[in-house]
Amino acid sequence: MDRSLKWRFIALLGVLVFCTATLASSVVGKSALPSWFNGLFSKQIILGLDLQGGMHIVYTIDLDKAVDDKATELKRDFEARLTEKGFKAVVKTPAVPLGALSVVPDDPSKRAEIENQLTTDYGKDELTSRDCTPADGANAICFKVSQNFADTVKKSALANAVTTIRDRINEKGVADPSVVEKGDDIIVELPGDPDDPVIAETKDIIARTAKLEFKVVDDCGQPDPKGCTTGSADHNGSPYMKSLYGKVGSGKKGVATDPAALADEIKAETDGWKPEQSGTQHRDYYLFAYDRDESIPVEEAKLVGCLRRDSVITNGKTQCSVTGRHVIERYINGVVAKNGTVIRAGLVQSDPSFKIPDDHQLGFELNEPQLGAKDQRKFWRTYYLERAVRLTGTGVSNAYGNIDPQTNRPVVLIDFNRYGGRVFGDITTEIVGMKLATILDDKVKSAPLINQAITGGRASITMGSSEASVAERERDELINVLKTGSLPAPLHEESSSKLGATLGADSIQKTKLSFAIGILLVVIIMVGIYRWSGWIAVFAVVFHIIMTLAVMAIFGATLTLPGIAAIVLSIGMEVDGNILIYERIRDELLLGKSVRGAIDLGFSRAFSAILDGQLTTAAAGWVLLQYGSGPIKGFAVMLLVGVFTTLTTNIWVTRIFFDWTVARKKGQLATISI
Amino acid sequence: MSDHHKFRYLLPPGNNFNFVSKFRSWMIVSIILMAVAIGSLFVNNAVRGTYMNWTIDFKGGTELIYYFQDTPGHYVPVDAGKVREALAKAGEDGVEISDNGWKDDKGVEVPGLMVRSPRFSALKPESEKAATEGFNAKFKDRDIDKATWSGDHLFVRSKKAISHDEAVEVFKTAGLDLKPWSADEQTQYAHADEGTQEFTQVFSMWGLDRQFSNVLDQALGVKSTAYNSYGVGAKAGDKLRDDAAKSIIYAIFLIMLYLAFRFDIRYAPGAAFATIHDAIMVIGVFAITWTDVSLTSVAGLLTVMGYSVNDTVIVFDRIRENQAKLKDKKIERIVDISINEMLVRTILTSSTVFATTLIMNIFGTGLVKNFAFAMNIGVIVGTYSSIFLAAPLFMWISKKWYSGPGTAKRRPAPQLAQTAEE
Repeated sequence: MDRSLKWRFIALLGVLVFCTATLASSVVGKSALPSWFNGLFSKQIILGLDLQGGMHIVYTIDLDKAVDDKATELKRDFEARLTEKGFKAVVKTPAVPLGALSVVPDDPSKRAEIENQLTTDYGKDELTSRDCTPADGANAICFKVSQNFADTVKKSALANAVTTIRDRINEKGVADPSVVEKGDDIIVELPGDPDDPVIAETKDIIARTAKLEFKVVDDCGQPDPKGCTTGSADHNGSPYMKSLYGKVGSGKKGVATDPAALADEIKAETDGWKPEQSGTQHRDYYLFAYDRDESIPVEEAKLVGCLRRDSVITNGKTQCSVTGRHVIERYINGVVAKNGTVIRAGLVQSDPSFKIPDDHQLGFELNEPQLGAKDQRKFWRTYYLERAVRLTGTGVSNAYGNIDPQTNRPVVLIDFNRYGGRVFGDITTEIVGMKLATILDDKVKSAPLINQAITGGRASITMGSSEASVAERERDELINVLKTGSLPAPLHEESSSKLGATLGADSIQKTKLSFAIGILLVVIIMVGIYRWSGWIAVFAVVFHIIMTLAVMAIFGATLTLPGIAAIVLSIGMEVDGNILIYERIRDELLLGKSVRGAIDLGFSRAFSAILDGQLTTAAAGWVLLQYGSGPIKGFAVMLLVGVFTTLTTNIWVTRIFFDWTVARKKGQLATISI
Repeated sequence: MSDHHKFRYLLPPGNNFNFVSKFRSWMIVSIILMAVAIGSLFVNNAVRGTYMNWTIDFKGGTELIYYFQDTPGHYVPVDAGKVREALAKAGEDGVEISDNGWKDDKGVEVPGLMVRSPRFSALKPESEKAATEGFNAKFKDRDIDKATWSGDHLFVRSKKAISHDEAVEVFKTAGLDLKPWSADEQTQYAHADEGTQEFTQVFSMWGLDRQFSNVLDQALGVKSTAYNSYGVGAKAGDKLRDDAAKSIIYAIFLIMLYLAFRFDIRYAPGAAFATIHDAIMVIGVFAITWTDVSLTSVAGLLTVMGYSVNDTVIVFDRIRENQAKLKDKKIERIVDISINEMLVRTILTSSTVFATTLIMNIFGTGLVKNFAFAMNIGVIVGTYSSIFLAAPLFMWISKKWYSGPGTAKRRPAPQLAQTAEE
């Protein structure tokens, strides 16, 4: 055996062993293999939904929220436009009806002029007039987002949500998901084992609205319809919160004096500070309440989503764990079923003055108990926020993780884009000495005191969880969602089910069987015609399949049915290559060439045909990869891999075997079995 | 001289068939067949309403999730194959079945199945037509002003009322199952509009879920219940269709470009024509046989085109080689000799691919069968087109443009061909 052949043989063996080892974990499963082996060959074949199945999750999307946000955006737009034209007016976004806006001019005589201005500026496409309600105030000009425009907003929100979900899944690294709209719902299909933690984590990330909002914490003593700023006279706490504080009461050890509040362990407290710059006293009144387990009426349990089929119901009540947030909301607003029936009365039902003003809202922050505190339950505290959103996640350009050197807690640093940076600078200038709440998905993440204007275009969010690993996971999730952008409206998981291979398990079994029979037929034809050389061709086919799958596993490409179609094609072309070579060798032998010479000539003559065939295929595959999408892409990837393996097996692997056949007989070969 | 080589021959050596002399006839036959294929699309559109039998992938449809119980409260798994069979027997086209499991309220694992059907409603166009006709015929005496379908509902305006019981029979003969009226509906439909003095009545059919459920109950002997059913949009929207068309056209151009550089320009049209021919033929057969067209069929079509190009290029390679070797021969002879030399290889290769995909067609189900069917047709037309269309077209172009009358050997064979020689 000559040296070059020996080395080629060793290399072939090496490639074969490497490819087989790469595929081992995909065939027998990782658990069946030693851990050092899994460490070396970590890549597995990823199967697409059609071959493997996965999770099928249906999400409903709250599109009304998107319309609501549009109204808020218009409000800001109105304000800017009115200021520009020299009008003085207060713009509000009442909660009902959907997408409502109202403009109350300071000077009632200007009413008609303002109305005219706004209707000409916006036209019928975006806005329609509506009848004012008493809540809008006297002289109000009332608008709402037009039906058509609301539909457009909803439609684009839905499309946007689909893109965002797809981005998030890709960022997480789950290959080939399917994300489709179904009416107002979104169906997500994730390929993979539903028990795999990656799937669970991906699910978490998908549903995160990641709606980042910045709102001002109102501590102004005088209700100021244009918003509370540093310039406001009195910062001794908002009248609403003051009266709420008074109602709950703060007795001994801060325990509430109101019996209803006491029963729910709601406490009222104040927080005071005096910024050095202005020297103004600031006071913030707030409530807080613990998460608790309690027995609540069935209707209420339904609302908080704790009622299950197996819940034990005694006297119309059932045991639930409710959040402190719910406890406070219930205390103020009562529990009202969707049809309007009051299940449990709150403050509002007995005294309407406790209704939160339309342009304000309560924000809730989840707090972890401090280490060593007596009460180790989690609790929620309130912030009295302006309803207006000052800046949203659209102002964010990038996000990355870090550790806060002071608290040693993971933080997410946010870089604002130019718009975001400017707005953030403006807000912080306006409210020096006050608090600015960072709200993520309807929860106040933090509400730091703004000591001075922040114009650097950067802010940070500290992770709440006290457990390091949880906090770090939270942080990574947050970075993912901030990078991929927020969903235009909140998502709710409606149902989630395990999806079998969409091709059908029975179908896959039968396909495997027919594949095996197909290979057997190739063996019969090739060995029948070319005898010993036919076996070489069969080995080449086996090598071809192993190598194709291994290359695919290494590159992390997903195997789908169209991909298998491409493999079938490339196997066909590979067999074709062998036939071309064999026919050439036969021709040369018939011309009287020696076996060795015939093999040499056969390979070199067949080479140009094989190369041209494969290069045209590669050209087509490349184009399909560039311009195709979905299944076409899957096909193209496998076609390109196939070109590589076909050339390797035809030119290199098959040749080694022929050279070996010749070398065995030391050049004395008179004929070969071909 | 080399009789000691004992080869097993597929064909006796020295075959010398005449391929190119009948080029015009083949070309005409192929063009007619292509016209038939394209025409069949329009025939389908006229007769059946769509060009091809698009599956849920392309036109959307209904997804239904079923679970099965032998006794109430006890779930049983059901073989997807049996469900597929049962629905196919009931005449349901393009249905895809896959496993779908979930946990019920009590945490019990439910082994369910998802059925994807390209139908949007329980009504098939033909049954809708039959029902309307039967309805109009039976209730001629009621002065029907208007009877229109919307989804699974028939809206009727008439001078005289039609009772539910009367209508049930009519729909039953059309194979439709009428939903009972609720109490509200009954009172509402019993009174005429005060202004027009007309009755407005709505007859609603049971949906697809119930229709499939009935089929499954009978075929499987267990109780099937639709857990969920909803309409879904097309998985492959316009974007995918445009992408596919665009990328195929670009791919053909790039292949032509490659051939023009590596061979010469005369080869390019033949390869492109053969490839397009094969694609059209496969599409035509799918259209005529009304076979489901899914995303997998698209993969099948791409595979056929890939196969066709490869087959053509390899025949071309031999022509190029022979052109350099047999300079004194006429181009017709060169093409004929080349095809004859390649004949054994062509037959062998196509028969291995054909055999493999035929097995997939016979044993496979659903999508795999669909792909294999496309391949079966594709291998036949692909092999035919390389021999009878691509190579002769090359010859024709060579004669037409590269050699004027009487100057048959004015231009030498392309020198590029030398690269294939040692």
